[in-house]
Amino acid sequence: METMNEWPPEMGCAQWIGTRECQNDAVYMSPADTGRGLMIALADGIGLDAVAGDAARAAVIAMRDEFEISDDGEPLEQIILRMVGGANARVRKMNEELDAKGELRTGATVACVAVRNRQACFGSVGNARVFLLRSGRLLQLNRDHLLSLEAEERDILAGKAPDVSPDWALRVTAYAGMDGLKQPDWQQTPIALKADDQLIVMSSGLYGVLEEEELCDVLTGMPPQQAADEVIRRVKAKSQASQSNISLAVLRIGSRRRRAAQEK
Amino acid sequence: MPSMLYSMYAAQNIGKRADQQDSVNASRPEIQKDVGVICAIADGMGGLSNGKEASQLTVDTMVSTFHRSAIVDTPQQILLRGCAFAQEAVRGIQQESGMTGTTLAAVLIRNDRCSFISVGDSRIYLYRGGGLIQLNREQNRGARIDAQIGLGRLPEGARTDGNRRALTGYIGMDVLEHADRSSGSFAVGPGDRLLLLTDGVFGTLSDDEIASVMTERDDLICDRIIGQVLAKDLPNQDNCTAALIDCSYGEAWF
Repeated sequence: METMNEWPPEMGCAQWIGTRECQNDAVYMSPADTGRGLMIALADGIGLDAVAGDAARAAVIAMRDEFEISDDGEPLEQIILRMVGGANARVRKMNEELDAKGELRTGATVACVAVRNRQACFGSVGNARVFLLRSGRLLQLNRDHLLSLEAEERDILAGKAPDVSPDWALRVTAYAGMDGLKQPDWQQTPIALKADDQLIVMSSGLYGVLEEEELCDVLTGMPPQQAADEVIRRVKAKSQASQSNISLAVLRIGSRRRRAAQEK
Repeated sequence: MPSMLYSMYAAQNIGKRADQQDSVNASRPEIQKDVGVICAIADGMGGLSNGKEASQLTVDTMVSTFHRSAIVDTPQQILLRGCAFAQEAVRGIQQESGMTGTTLAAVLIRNDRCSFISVGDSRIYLYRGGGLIQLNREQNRGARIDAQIGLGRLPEGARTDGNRRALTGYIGMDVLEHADRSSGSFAVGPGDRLLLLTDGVFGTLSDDEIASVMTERDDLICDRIIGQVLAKDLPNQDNCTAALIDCSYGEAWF
């Protein structure tokens, strides 16, 4: 049986500020597996001001801290929930301090992945996305917490036609730092990873900019860091008049075949 | 490019129970090129009356909603509408037959893209590249407790709550406000398999045991899964249902 230690994963990460004044995304990937496994944490501050960026960075640090106190015996799905809970608590604390100063509150969408012994779990609140790329096809693993989706569900289940103003459709309905965060989305049973699987976490600035097929081609065609850089390069080449911050993190599970090719 | 062919199969067993309260239904295969396919399973709640009637009504309603849907309806809208109609139908029979309810898990594929919806604790898996991935979130008390512990609102000790398996969502509940569903759709391709299971299967077999069957020929998988369940010969084996949509290149013969 292949193990992560025998065929180390490859990782890559890239960001771009877009046309914004502040980079309000934050991302962290484990530098190496020190026995605890690997993690990806990504957060996208809500809003355009610098405080949103602070919230994103605080959320990512909180997720990293929670991951680093986990031990072998703790189930991955519980680690993930602690990571998301930790991000929420950290940003809520920021909001208490902002409240005390009479300043506007902040928040961040978050997504995190934990990988150990070729199993993976993820958690998220908001509209950052977690994907699994396997057999050349992308699968979004997590749920988007968007007003358009929740309104559609609410209205149709109540027997009404869906009705949400386009201005509000993309509004995030759950985020780290909100009061009364009901429940994050998370993988309840770990995913058994296969050789060459890729886990991708991205912020919403990337959505709809590259077609899914193009994204798959880039991710399957080159190592993770090169792929992440290439995605940013292609987004830049689109020269959109208004481009949000973008962050992208990629973790690819190794394989005997790839290791053999590298050793040639 | 050759076109995709979706083949659907199902198998069930009553287990060691007095009644079969699981149900399964699927769309007519001949419409798949124009409209797509849907497959739905439901597990009637045993502690409530008329679980079989509720589950059959639910899967039949999902399929009939699909058959009646307009081409402009999105898959997500079709699935939600099916859910809403099933909820109305099951609530309707409660007046005569008393409190009843059922889980629901349904998969819809159109234009080679898959969407899904579930209420309760039946499961939907994607088998891709040799591995199983559970797609849906189970709606039960245990999931809710675990989330609240993670958010720091309940102590660690709450995890051993004796009622973890109690459903927090089912068709027929007083007010159905939430169904778990895919955010949009995902592309499917040859070799992909969508597997729907009631808890009589995954309560008996591990994911590894289920995955070991998935390499079989598509028409044998559901029977093999049920066969594996029965081979365990558990004293209180629940009703069990397995349904499969196999994705391959091919031309339909119908």
